[in-house]
Amino acid sequence: MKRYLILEDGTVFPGEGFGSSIITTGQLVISNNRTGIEQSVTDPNTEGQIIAFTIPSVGSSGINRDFYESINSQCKGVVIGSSSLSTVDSSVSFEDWITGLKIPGIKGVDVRALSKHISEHGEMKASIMDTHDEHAIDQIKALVLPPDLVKRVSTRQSYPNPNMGLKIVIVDLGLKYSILRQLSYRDCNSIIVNYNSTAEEIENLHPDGIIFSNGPGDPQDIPNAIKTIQILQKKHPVLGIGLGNLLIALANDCKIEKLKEPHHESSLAVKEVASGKIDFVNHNHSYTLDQKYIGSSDFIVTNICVADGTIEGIRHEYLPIMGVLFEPEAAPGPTDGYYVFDEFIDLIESVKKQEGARDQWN
Amino acid sequence: MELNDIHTILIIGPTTSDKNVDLSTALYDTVDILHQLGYKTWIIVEDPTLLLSSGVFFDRTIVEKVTGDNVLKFVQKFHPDAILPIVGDRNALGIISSLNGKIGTTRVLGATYAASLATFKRELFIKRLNKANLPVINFISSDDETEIYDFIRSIGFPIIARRRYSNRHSSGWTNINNLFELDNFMALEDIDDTKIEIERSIRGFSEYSFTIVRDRFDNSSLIGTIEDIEPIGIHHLDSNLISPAISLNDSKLQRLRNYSIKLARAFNIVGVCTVHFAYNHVTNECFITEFIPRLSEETKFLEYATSYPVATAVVELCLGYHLDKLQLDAGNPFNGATEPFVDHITSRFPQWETDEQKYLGPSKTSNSSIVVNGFSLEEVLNKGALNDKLNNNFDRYNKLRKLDDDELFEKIIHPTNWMLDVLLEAMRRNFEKPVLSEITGINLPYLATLQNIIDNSLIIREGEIDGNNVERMVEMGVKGVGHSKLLLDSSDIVTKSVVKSKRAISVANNKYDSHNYFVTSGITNELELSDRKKIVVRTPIITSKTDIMIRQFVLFQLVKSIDQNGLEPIIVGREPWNAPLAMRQKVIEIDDPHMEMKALKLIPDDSILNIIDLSKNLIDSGDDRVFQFSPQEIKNIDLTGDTSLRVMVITDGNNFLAPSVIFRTKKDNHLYEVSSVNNFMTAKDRAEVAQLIKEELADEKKVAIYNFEMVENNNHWLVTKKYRGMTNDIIRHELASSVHVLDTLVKLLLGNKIDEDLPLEKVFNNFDEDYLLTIDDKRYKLLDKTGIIDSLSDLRDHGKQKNHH
Repeated sequence: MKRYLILEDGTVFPGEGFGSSIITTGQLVISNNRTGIEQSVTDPNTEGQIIAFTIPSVGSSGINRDFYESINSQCKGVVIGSSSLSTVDSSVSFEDWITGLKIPGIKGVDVRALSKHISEHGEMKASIMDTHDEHAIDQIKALVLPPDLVKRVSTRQSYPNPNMGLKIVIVDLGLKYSILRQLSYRDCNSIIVNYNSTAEEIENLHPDGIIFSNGPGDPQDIPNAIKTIQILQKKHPVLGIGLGNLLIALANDCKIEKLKEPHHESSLAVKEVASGKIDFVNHNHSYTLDQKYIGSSDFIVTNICVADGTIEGIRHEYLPIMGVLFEPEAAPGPTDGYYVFDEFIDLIESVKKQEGARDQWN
Repeated sequence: MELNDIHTILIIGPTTSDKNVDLSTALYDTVDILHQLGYKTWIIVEDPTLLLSSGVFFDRTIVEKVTGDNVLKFVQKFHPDAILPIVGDRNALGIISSLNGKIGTTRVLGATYAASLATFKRELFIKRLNKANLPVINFISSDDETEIYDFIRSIGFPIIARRRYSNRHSSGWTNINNLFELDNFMALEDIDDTKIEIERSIRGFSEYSFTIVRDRFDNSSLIGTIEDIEPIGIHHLDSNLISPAISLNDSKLQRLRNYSIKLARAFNIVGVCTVHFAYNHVTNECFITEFIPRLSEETKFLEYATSYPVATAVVELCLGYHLDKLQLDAGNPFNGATEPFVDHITSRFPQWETDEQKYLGPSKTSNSSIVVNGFSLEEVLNKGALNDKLNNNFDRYNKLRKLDDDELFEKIIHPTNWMLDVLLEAMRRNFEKPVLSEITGINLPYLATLQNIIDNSLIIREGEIDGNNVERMVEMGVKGVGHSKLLLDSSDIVTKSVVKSKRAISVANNKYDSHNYFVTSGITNELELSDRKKIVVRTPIITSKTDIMIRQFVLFQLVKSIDQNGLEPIIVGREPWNAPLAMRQKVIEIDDPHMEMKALKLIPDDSILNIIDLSKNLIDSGDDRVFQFSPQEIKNIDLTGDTSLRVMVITDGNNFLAPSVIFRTKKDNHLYEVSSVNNFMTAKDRAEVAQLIKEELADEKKVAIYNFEMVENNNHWLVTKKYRGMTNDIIRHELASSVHVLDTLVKLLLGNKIDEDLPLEKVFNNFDEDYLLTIDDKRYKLLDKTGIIDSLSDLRDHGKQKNHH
């Protein structure tokens, strides 16, 4: 069935529809992920987004339920160039999978031209529709995307991920399962709480450390979380990942800005400033920290993106706060960033040691 | 940050073996960047024509057999600071492993001793990998029967086995599937004087290769992945290759990536390393089968596929540069810390010289390859392996269609180079895909792709084409210009045939532009042309090593000259040509496997000034702008003599130049050939040769290149062969001639004229300082002026004495 991907600015990309046949509208994001279709489609960060995958022959490697990053799919639509009709491990084919998830898809799109258009004109809204008349374009322009993306993906009720190690409270702004996987691997006893939890509620859980997870949308849409960080960061070690990192920056009078070329790529180099060590990690963010404000703040830049010099990691000069904009849990992408979790655990342990020493002194 | 104790580098060049991969572009890039960064480069090479240039870059060119003894001799004599083996193919690694402990403080760049040795010694390879906890197939080499049976009990069947004799030779591998076959194998020969080597069989596993670059600070980047359509058991270069590897999911990809990096670390390889994997998608077992710590067919292919400047990056890494601080040329930075992400598929299809079916196995049988690009598997298969213009597939279909099911099945069980065609026919007959996949070891996505191709091509054959499915055909690469044109009627898109860039897409290096393109389908054109007038160079498919060398050399010189003359060079060919990096910014290269650029008018026709066509048969001989470059035989007299001249002539249709004359003579049963003898010809010879040329060119009124062979007969020269166009002698002519014929050709095509009434000294003018002496067409020597005068007089005297007798 002939369908059209229509951008907010009126540009039309024809293709062939598959999956659900409903009309869908969302923020169009170009994903340069090499692998990990399952992760991307189920990543809560993609809430409200139409994802255009630039990889060719999507789905040849098969679909694996174990790679899901949340229970359900999150994105509003998928755009691809070509897909594979069969899979190497005889699992369900990509198109059947998308149909099963009831997501609309469009294939046979010139994704190269689409990605070029987006990099020239910036990220914008888009629709997958059956027609491409002026009326349709007006409809997209008029539509306001909901600002409560985090609310939609955050857990409503707190739940534990029990283990025997350090107690970590994770504020769920759009938590990926792989963060939990990494923490479980390090024996962390985690409790996952709603994004709107107050500082008091979190403190009552007696955390050893707090993680503000990654998530979708603009951090300025969730001012409560910023206030929570301002209170908690003075008392507990804090790690911010992605959106969490942006919130930490905002809580400390720094500013953020939208990237001219957003990072949606599963393998992009990040350099550790102190050692010069280069790691390839998964990026999925459209915002970054404004360099002007970081310079005069109490943060030290720990990681930068080799490609465009974007700040990718910060650490507070004297408080136990650290943050990374990239996704250290990978999923998809190289596993070079796992060390961030180890560093956070080291940070917690050193804080505990200092507290222990202080207690003895008192 | 680079190593600062290195100033002079001895490069181990390639041998002349036909089995070698052509790395001439990589070699050129390597030397070019070394030169620009201020290093002194020496090279040992067997055939100086492989260097693509007249050797100006090299501070010392040693033309000798590339052997361990010779390398050692030169290291001891000249004391280079370092040896660079990465462009010397497998032979260079052998040489490095033989130099262990013999070269004092001279560094080896790129591949360490251990790495070089481990590419040859299986035991060392396995030991090192086991130590690094990397997955490797267990192996035993023993003459003890109990030990062998114990080992097999521990690994189970199937296995492969071979005998290694005391003279270090070995038998071929034998497949053994059960105890009965093993007993037979063991009973075959007395075990006393042989060792038996046994490995677990991994036949039918999928094959992948990962190439990483690594700097000396332990930063690594995966620059590409390749997968073989055919399984393990068929030689990698006889398989159809696909890049990137599309059948690996994230966890498999990261696992293999981590293994590759770990392996490079285990051998401390600084530079490049390609690691081959065998992967079983059913059991998720994976083994490292080999690794290649040098530039190779894989790196060349990845450079085609992603435009990542592999050769340049690798040599800088070897010299200690930081991965993210490389240079494309002196002063032009390049961020090597990128894992090139491509949104298209690049495929390498092997080619065989003859059309008959060849059984495929562990040893290589193909003669060359073709690389194509596309946005789907269907597209690359239709453009490459199933492209009738390249492989005569229609003929194959007709033959296969006559087979009955049993005969076809027989062909599926015993893989030949027709495998994809065979499977296509099997798909047409609705054979079960899972069964076929199990028998052939070819993964299901490829079989589904073949099914899709055959289903759609049946639509064409049955004449059920309409606007909708034509569009699909074009997307699938089933093109001929006819089909694409039908799209003009489609309301959505004017035409779907467009030209797209081959560069990797990423936030990284988005300022690094390369002008490599391919014709494909889509809605926007990416071809960016300047407003300069254009000369289009059309290249044919090539099948032999000599052809490759000539093409590399001619294209490079042509492109350089077109650019220097203020025009825009455009190379259009059925398969890609990667220009040396220094030229890549200046030339537009377009892969056009269906040759449709012209018909679809993808380059504005009025901007094309000339077309230089390197193919043997012109498709548009009516077009005045077309210059046919390949030789057309005009005269061939069967007269042989001991002494002959080969004269290359270029004419503007009125006057001519003869800047290169090669002298050939026989002496003591050897054939000697001396370049640029025009500098040393007698006045009488010159006058006589010039007169002969004048007579032969009497009818020529256009710009043309001619090649003559003149044989000495009774103290006079006789024209025995005459070709219009360029013969294979071009490299020797051009290497020898400082008046560059290709450059002169471009100038004449632009309308310049050769001066009237030039004195003969000017007609034969040539300012060369290096001269090439070739013995028996395979041994080469570079001589200076005195050297050449001595050997010439020696050869001439010999000739005269012989005549006298």
